[in-house]
Amino acid sequence: MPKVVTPTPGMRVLCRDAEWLVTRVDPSDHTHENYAVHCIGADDLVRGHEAIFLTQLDAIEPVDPRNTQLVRDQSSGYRLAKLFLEAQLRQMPATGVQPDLKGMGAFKPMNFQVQTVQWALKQLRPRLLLADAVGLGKTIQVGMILSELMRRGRASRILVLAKKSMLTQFQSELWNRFGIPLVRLDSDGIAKLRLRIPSNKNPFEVYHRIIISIDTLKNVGSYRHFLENTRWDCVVIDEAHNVAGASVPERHLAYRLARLLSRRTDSMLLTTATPHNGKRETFGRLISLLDPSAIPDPDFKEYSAEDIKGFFLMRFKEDVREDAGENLTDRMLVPIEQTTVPASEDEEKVYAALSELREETKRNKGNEDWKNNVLVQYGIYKQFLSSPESCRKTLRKRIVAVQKHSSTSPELLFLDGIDSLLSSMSIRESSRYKLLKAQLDEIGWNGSPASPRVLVFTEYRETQDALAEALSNDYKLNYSSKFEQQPKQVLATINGSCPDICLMDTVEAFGTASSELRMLLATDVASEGVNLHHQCHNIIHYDLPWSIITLIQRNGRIDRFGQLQNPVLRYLRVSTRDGMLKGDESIFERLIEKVEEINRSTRQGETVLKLYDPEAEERYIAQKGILHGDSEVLEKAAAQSSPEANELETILSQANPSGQEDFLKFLLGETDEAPSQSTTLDSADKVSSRLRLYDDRRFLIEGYRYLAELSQNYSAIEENGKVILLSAPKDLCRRLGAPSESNDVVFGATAIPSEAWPQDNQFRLSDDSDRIELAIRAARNTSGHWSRELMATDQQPILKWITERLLMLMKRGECPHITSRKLEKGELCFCFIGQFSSRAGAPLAVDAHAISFRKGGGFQHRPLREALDRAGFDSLVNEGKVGDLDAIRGPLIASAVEASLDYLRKLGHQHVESLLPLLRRENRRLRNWKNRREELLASRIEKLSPNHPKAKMYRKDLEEMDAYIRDREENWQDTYFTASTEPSTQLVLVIEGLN
Amino acid sequence: MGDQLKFEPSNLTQPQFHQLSECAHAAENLSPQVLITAAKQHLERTQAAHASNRLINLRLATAIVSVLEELVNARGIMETNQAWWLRGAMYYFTTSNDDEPDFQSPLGFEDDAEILNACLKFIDRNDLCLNVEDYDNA
Repeated sequence: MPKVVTPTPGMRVLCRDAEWLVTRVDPSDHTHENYAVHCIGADDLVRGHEAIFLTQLDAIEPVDPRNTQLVRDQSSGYRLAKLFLEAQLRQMPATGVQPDLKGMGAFKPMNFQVQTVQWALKQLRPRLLLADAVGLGKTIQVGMILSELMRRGRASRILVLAKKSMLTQFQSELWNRFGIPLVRLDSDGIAKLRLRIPSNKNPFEVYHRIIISIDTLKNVGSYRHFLENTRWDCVVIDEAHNVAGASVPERHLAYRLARLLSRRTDSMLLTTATPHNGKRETFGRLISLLDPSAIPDPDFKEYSAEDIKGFFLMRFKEDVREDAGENLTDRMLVPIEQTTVPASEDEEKVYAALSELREETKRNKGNEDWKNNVLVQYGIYKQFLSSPESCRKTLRKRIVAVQKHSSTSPELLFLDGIDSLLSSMSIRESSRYKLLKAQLDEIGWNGSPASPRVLVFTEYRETQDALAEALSNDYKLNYSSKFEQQPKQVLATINGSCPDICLMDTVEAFGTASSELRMLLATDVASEGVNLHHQCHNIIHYDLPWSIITLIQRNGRIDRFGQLQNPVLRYLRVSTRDGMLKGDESIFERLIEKVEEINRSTRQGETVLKLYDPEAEERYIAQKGILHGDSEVLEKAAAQSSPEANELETILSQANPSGQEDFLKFLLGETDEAPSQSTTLDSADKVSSRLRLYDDRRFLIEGYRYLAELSQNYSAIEENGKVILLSAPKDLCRRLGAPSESNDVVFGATAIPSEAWPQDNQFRLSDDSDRIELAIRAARNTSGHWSRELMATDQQPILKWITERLLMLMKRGECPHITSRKLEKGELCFCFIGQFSSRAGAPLAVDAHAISFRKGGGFQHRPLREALDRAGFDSLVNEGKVGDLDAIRGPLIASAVEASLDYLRKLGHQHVESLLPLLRRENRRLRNWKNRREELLASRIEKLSPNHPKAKMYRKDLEEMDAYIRDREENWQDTYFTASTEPSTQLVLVIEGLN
Repeated sequence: MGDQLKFEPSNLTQPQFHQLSECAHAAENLSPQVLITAAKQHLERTQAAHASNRLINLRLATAIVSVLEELVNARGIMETNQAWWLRGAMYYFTTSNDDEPDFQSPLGFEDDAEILNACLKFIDRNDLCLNVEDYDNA
């Protein structure tokens, strides 16, 4: 009697009178003896339907490979057998830690990006903080890791959390370049979805790959229940510093959300260019989201480089410049003298008045009547440096406020004086504005369609409004300040009050060559994350924020990975004769120089002043520099009093793997043991572990053609140069969730983004990554984010569909039988795909191999490719020779199956043994953590009274720690290490020799 | 520290030290021969369990037993006063359901090795100490 075999992904099983293809197996209870078996229907009755069976309720019977029925392949050239075998190979999960870049997507992989993927895969359960500097292609790296996980069958459920302004960008990058379909959900979308599904159904389980904004998820408490019951394969949090938690993390909604998700997911990727704010606990919290067992201290304040090593990667432009080549262009700073003009006479008067005001406040320091705020000390001055309009508005508010308080305040005298000077001034007359126009002339900008795109940053809304009005008058442009008009105008403004959707549309228009938009006037709302570099390389800082962080973020909008032109930076400056304010100029100059220094170094901008906050930087520069008259202010770190930040940076740089050597060390496991995997890092010279008989393009065409011949209503597939045109037949439309299909059933597992749906249901696919790159650029020229041509990757939903349809061409328990003249008469080649799974159902080792049988020679194992070559498989023609099916049936097949299982058993043991050192190292780390944490907590509890709330918290921490360790043993170890008792195998082809 | 008189093995966690003391009490009246026989029997059990569970660290268990044998065979060691602790370490090895269960955890013999190492250091036989990481490979 055959042993009871645990269902494993890829296996065919019988359940409820139908045959199913197992796609995934999860333990359904804590004993790990029962499973939830995820299946997709594989016979006529249930084809395409998804179902989950519980082994404790349903009898799930594997289709026994010993009883396989041979079916003579009658197609010409054995197309059926070839395509069926190819489909089988394509649904084989990949294993190992080497990424396979071939056909992964449309992008040019850089060495450092490939290293990231290796790093992630080596972790078995990728949990990684990507802290690369601004503009180094973090999204691409996320796409690469997700692709590899999908190939391993480990990313069917993906959740991406991003900022609202980034949703479309992230979604379209992953779809255009990798064929990874993320469905966007917002609160509206979730509400609508819940109307379509039964009320007790979890909306997060309907779609399998979701992108959602952090705000949507965190604000609505009602999702918590659903999220707690949803398991993900991979959670990605973009701009993860937003979830690091403020001073009271427990009350911080985003942090609580992230913590909840981190416990409900297998893999987790965090990306941010600013992984900490100088406080140890913010970085510690991010690391503990990845792995609670990294840092023993429950407050995440005490940790060493050793504790956090391996959980994060942090690289700077300088680190990767050699790698990146033309993808990283050098930026040009227009010399500051060329963008400096002297102040006008009127302006000098205001500067003189401002200078007097500053003098007076200094002299009266401590005087009750002069108890003024930062606004009077330097705020009004900073506003005037931007525009008269901006200054006037603030000034008037101040006058009203002071008058209310005391109408005799000596401050009023000065304020009124400045106000009367300002009353006759406007931005159009200001030297700064004239300078802007002169610079626009230099660039060749006049508002006409031929003008290059220009990005202008200003600090203040009033300046932005005044600028928009003045520019539209001077260049005769129609301009409306209405938000929804912005994407359609030549001149557009975005700022904090702009609704997200308008902001996204405007950003998209700015990156689209065909849009009319020529100039984007932005406040700093646009300075985090968004891509503005696609059609623009000119940036003008109309005024100067007194913060290095803000300036770096601003410049990073156009100076980023993939910018093809040299970014040109202009800082506008108006110089004054006024003696007292003259000193400020050297501070501003230093500020700009510092930003450029950082750009050429391998440091974060935050490390200059060590304040980690733009506002704190502004306050510091104003108080210590401007008011104190200290022009050296930027040379000293502000945080001399904060050794914490210095220490943290030392720890990070110690823990961050720098250079190739550290990488190798990590990849090889940091010990001297002989590694079991290939030690070469250059995957280009490594033979792909994935076996393919067809490349993606041929598979797409020939697979579809074969299916089309079998069904009447499939229209023909066309080849047009490098592009393949496929009109989606009805069943594909349904499966991909076409907007035109008003189904009752939501095909959540296979749906693609509705935004990406082609107008005429016609998909344009190509396997040429350059071609897709062009199409993505073309989209930016015409329509926006969504490319019309798609990369034909093996995880592309259309190719997946073809694969699954081909797999179903054979009936239950059947396998094609073909003949070959290359093999001796009587020789039989049994081709198998088998796997050895872990107890939790994850494939540990998957292998395609052949068992040859020769009379008198017994059974011999061969790698599949070798066996196929011996049989001349690729060039086989169907000569109509029947062979002797009856002779093969029965004991011969059974013996071949035994030989295959034997081989797989050996393979499985080898695999487990090769992973043992890794498992032991990891468990040792865990044990170490547990001991240290126990000790730490015990010593802290000892110092507190038993009822102290902190003591209670620590005791809870202890309990949680035990639960976590148990969970690690049960889930982690059983998923990746503990082998199930028996391998499974499937006979996929029999070749009979006729020579 | 080197010159200071040592009264008990150090570098163990509190619970480990506690368990070692208990084992030492339990083994107080057992002869080294009885203990080494028990240790060998435990190794046989480990071999049997390893056949079906490759995660069990048989290599480390074997190494521990050969160190124990060496101690028992070495002249004089088991007769000293400090041997009280060594007997405890031997007894500890023979219990399978200890800090890290021998037949369940992939680190099942790590705690046994740590306790043995602490006792070896205590009797100044650092040369016999085991580096557990050397036994990570299957």
